[in-house]
Amino acid sequence: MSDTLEFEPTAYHVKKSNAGPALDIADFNLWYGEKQALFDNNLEIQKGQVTALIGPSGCGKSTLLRCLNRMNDLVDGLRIEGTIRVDGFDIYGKGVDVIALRKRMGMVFQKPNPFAMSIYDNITYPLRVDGVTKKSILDDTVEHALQQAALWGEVKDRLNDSALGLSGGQQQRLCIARAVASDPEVLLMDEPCSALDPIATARIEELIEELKGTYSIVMVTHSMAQAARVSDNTAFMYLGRLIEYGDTDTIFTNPERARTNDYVTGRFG
Amino acid sequence: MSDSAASSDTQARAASARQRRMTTRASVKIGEKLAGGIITVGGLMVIVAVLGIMVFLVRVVVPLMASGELQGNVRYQLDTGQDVTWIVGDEFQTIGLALAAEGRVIGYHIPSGQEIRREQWDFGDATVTSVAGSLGRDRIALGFDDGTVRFATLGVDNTSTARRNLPSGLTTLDARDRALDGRVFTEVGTGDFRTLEPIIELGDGEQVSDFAITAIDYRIGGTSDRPVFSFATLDSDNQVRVSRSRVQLNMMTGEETTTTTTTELPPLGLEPGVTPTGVLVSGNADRVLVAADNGFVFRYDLRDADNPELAERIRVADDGVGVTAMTFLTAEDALVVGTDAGDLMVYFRLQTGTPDTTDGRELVRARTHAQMPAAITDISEAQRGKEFVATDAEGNVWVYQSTADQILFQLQRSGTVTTDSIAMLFPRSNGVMLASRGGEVEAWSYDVPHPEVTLAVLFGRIWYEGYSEPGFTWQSTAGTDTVEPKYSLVPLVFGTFKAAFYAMIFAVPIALMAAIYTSEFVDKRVRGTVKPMMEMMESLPTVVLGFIAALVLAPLVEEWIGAVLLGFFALPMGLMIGAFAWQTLPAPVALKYDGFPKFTLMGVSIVLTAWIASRLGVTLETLLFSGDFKQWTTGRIGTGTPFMFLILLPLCYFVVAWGFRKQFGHHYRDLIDSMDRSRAGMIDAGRWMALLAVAMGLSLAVASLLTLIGYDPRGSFIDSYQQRNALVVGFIMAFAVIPNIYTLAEDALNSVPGHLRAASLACGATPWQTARWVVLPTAASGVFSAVMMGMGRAVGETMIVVMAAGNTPIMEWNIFSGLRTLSATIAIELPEAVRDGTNYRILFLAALTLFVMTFIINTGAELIRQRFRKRAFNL
Repeated sequence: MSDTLEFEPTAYHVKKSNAGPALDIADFNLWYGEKQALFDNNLEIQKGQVTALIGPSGCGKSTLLRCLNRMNDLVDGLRIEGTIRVDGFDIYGKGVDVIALRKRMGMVFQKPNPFAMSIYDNITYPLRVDGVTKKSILDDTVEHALQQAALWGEVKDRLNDSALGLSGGQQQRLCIARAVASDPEVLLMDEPCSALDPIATARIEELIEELKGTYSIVMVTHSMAQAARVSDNTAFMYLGRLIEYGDTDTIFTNPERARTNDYVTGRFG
Repeated sequence: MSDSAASSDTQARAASARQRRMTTRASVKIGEKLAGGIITVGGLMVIVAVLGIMVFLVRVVVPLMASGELQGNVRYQLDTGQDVTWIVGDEFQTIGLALAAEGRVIGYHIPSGQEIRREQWDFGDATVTSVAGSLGRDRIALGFDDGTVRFATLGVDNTSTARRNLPSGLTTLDARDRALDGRVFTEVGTGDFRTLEPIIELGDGEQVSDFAITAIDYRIGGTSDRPVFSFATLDSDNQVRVSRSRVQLNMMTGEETTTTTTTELPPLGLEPGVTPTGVLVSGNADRVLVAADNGFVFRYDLRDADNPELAERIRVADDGVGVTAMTFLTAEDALVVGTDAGDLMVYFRLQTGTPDTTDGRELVRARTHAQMPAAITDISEAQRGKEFVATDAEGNVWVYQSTADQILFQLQRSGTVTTDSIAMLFPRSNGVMLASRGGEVEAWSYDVPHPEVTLAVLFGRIWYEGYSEPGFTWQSTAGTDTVEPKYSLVPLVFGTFKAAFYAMIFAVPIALMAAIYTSEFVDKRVRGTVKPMMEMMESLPTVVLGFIAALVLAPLVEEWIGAVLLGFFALPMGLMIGAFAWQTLPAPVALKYDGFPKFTLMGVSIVLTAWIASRLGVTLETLLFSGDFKQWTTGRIGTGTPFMFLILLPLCYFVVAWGFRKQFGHHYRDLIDSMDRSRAGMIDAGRWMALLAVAMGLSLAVASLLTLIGYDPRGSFIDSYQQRNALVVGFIMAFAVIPNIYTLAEDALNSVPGHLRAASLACGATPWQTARWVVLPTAASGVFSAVMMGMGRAVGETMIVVMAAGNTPIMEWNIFSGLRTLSATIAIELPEAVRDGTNYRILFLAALTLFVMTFIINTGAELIRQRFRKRAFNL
């Protein structure tokens, strides 16, 4: 595309939730050293909805996602400008307890990454790092989280087996269970199905459907079909810029921006 | 024109492209084959080299355990005419000399039995009744039936003759030797001829008794310039006498005069019918031993020459069993006693706790050798080493190595068996010669390369002469010829582990903490600086480290021991205080100065604490260790309480902290969470100090209790202080080992997939929780092998221990004493060891032991590592 340097302002047609915004990202810029990766991103993540971040590789959608729970902190030469607010306070403000923040933002990664522990220990990990040792609380949490992750029936008899013995799809659902175990407000999902087969993917998508409402879900995905299937709102990013953010149906059927249209129709990406 | 050129070019390119697709160039194929071949050969060479080293070590070591080889046996009759009373042979087993009771001396060629010399000594009417030789057997004392004693020389002189000076008219004795006028010429490799000539000289006499001399012993002591000849005699009236002869040179006339003083010893007090069978005197004539046929040995104490006393009377054999032969082994500390029941026992004269004797020492049985089939008739000791030959009444001739408690040879006389034969070991302990009274001589030659080495000597407790009990001793070079080298590898193996143990105590926590720090807590830039610096530490030559340890650190630690001890406690405390002080800062200030300033402050706090420790070191010594720590370690002053208090303090702190967390953890957390940062910091500091105070109280209570029940650490892991000690070695060796462990452990931690770390952090875990619960367990196998590699390095480390460990082969865990490792011993002793000698081979055995040790450590480590790995990936 020859017109890469010309960008129109972001087009918004967001489907608002009744509960209001869960996250408010305002004028957000990010640099890796000298290279700017995010340009003036402005978006509100709606509470209790599924928001999909789509865009071609390198467009900054994962970077933006990782900023939401400050997983980027350890990256060398990282510099940010702008604010990300959760319930009115800026997560990049001074004196923010990052550890406490992360407990409010459960995260599920691209590849299933259970710890080399038992299923039980995996799920109780967020509680144990918090100093919870009471058996009854832990037991309740494990059952609840596994049920939420639709895994309880499959593993309830082998909670003390290694989590690494589960199949890929099960592992990913375990990771979702682990993420919800600490009772977060937001679930961040970084291409949660990219390492899974279609059947496992379908199960995860069902799960996301079930979880929405309870949690605000932000999901990065490469699959436009998946975004169309599970999300309420979709944000299309391109070269670090938010091109269009709005109702998923509109994005996929009648986008306001030509570039969005080109992308969702498969003309590039 | 240009178009067609372009098109042909395109065609050519297309053609070549097609060619490229179809075949692989020959050079690529050859390169592939060559690389494969070279890599295979290289790999095989490595395996071959390692196995080759192993085989080489084993080949050098194996002869240590080889049993002896009998090389020859001859027997013939000499024309002595009368009773043979003494024989002697030279070290080359060429010329033998036999003395008959009435004075005939026969020189003979040992291999063939041909007579080469004959002399007649004039004894007048007297007959020889007893003969004793000095240690080399060439100076002898003869006791006669008329109560006189005469000295004589009966030996072989060894010179060299060049081929051109060889006299004519030689008679051929055998393939090797030729004789002329009683001399024997043997061609040695260089074209020269070894010339052996008997020395047969009879000296003066001395009347010592009115009765026949039934037994005599003769020693030459003093210095070679001014020798003292001592002899003890026993006459047929059972009187024991000791005589000392001094040779004095008259400066004016050049004349030698011999003065002999004879002392009569107190009576033996034997019951009627009991006969003394032998007498022994020590080289400086301060001890005389008499054996009797009632199974007793009598010991006279002659240290006060004018006032001799019978110090001890000890039963060495069962009732009804008589002592038939006895002799000292070289060094005269070990007494070998043979009985008519065939027993052979070794006694040491020791200072025991409760002696019944007048001089505070007593004879203690140290060894019982294998019993011979019949009554012992003669025992003869080797001139060097601890071998002796014993004969019995049935014609058995057994050669023993006393220290190793083994029989080297069990020979059997082939001729007439008599009970009155005389046996001797050749000077090089490589043969036995035996003559019966009737003049029948039998000689054996053999080769035992390392008679003093057995597995028991190398790895077991051995009771050496001069020691009060059996033990593990390494002393490969002896001060004098008569003291045997002691080759127990156990103290060296022990020292190796001790050095490694103390090194690991310092190295493992520091290296692992550093690895966790750089892999988990700092960004890549810091890691990029720290890691190469740690690796540079590794490039420091260990000889430099050893040098620093020995010449700088050891004296420093010795002088500042109080401060050093205090430092172990003060430094962590200083850092903790600093951390709490930081906590009390308001959050914005703390965040603002988080990076470099905080780091600098840490450094300052370390330096400050070290300075305070150095100021307070003396105070600590005064307060806890009665003013002088080094004195305290000897156990003479103070109690064990203060030290146990210090040792137990960290443990007690952990117990107290754990208890607090268990009891009040939740409430305390809620309390802390409800406060702002600096208030919480202050409260937490207060909690810490309170816990510390409780821990100190607990520790003091436990330490006092331990002292009450009689436990004192001194004498076990704390004992008297030496400058070159395990503390210094451990500290400096840790310095050498830390980079090893650090680098490998860091790599292992770093190779833990980032997504696990991310998962943990995303769960709200702190970096420390992530490191502790996710990263470390996953990297456990790698971290463990890092530690084991460090251990392997510490075990094999040489230069540091050579220079700083004091090289004392003692076996105690005392952190303040020195040690000697296998590797240091090899480094120190191998340059001095005679090639293929016993010491040489034992040093190779030490090397093999080291090899096996590291092999076992590495294999064990690998097995454990595999288990860890399985657990990490399978649970």
